[in-house]
Amino acid sequence: MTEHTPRNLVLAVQLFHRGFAYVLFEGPESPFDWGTKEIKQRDKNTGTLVEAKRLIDRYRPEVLVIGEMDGKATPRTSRIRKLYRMLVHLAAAEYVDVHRCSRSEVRACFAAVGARTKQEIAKAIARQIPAFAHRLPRPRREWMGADSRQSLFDAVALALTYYGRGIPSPYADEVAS
Amino acid sequence: MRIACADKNEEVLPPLVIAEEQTDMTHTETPPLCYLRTQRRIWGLTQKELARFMGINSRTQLSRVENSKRAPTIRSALACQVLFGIPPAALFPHLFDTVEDRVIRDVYERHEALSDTTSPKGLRKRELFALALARATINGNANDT
Repeated sequence: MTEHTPRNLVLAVQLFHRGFAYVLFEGPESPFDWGTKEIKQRDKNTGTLVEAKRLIDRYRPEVLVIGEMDGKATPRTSRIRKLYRMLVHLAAAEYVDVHRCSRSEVRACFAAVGARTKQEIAKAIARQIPAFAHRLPRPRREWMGADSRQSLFDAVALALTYYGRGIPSPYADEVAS
Repeated sequence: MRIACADKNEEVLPPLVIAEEQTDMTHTETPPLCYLRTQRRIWGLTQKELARFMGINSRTQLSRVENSKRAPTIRSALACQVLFGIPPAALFPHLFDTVEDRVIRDVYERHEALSDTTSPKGLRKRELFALALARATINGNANDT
């Protein structure tokens, strides 16, 4: 009898100004858990890191997928940039592999299904994975603030882009043996 | 998993020993696997709604089942099968493993104890035990790959 623990879990995290969205996948079409966490405390970075560590401790993912933040074209505040760096350090301390996906890579991944904008990508995800279909955010107008559900779809897009790379699990050999 | 039945003196294999030590579901290092929460969220159900379907009084109790801190009752597990169409063994794989480990350990011991039997009843039991052990081996191999 084998130990049934979630194997090959991939955790994708998308940060936004009020907190972060996360999704855990067992496989490209098998979401295991997902959600958004709003950090209400003053020091949002510390609060985010505490929640991220809680997630990692709970699920022990093999891979953490985050957005690429090094490019100059990525409009992110210095706080979010710093938070991404802190997340990378946290993952390293927890022995979790980190993969980064740039926005252009995500767009290229979804271009095959004709999705270019965030809204179109979210719709494509909802079509591919029905579990997220009822969480689809309404189309954003110019005067509307960002919907936290959109961040959830951004996190899913990161995970699916990672799977699209076809990188084998870092522990595939151990599992096979 | 490898289960040897032939030699009486052969030691009980390590996986069974390890499994017994890990039967306390709240103290395993990696979280026990349960797909109840995943299924609930996939179908957009609230804890309150699912608790009602499962015949559970409160959200707290459901939360404990979802987090593998408490085993579901047979009624609740069957209610989940009716609702999601997934058998309890697939919905609560860690719980199934825990039960399977304990039962197979007993079966193995009984199978060995009956190795010298010649009575028809004893032989019939031994046949059952051998089948159960073979099934466990097949399931174990399938899960390993």
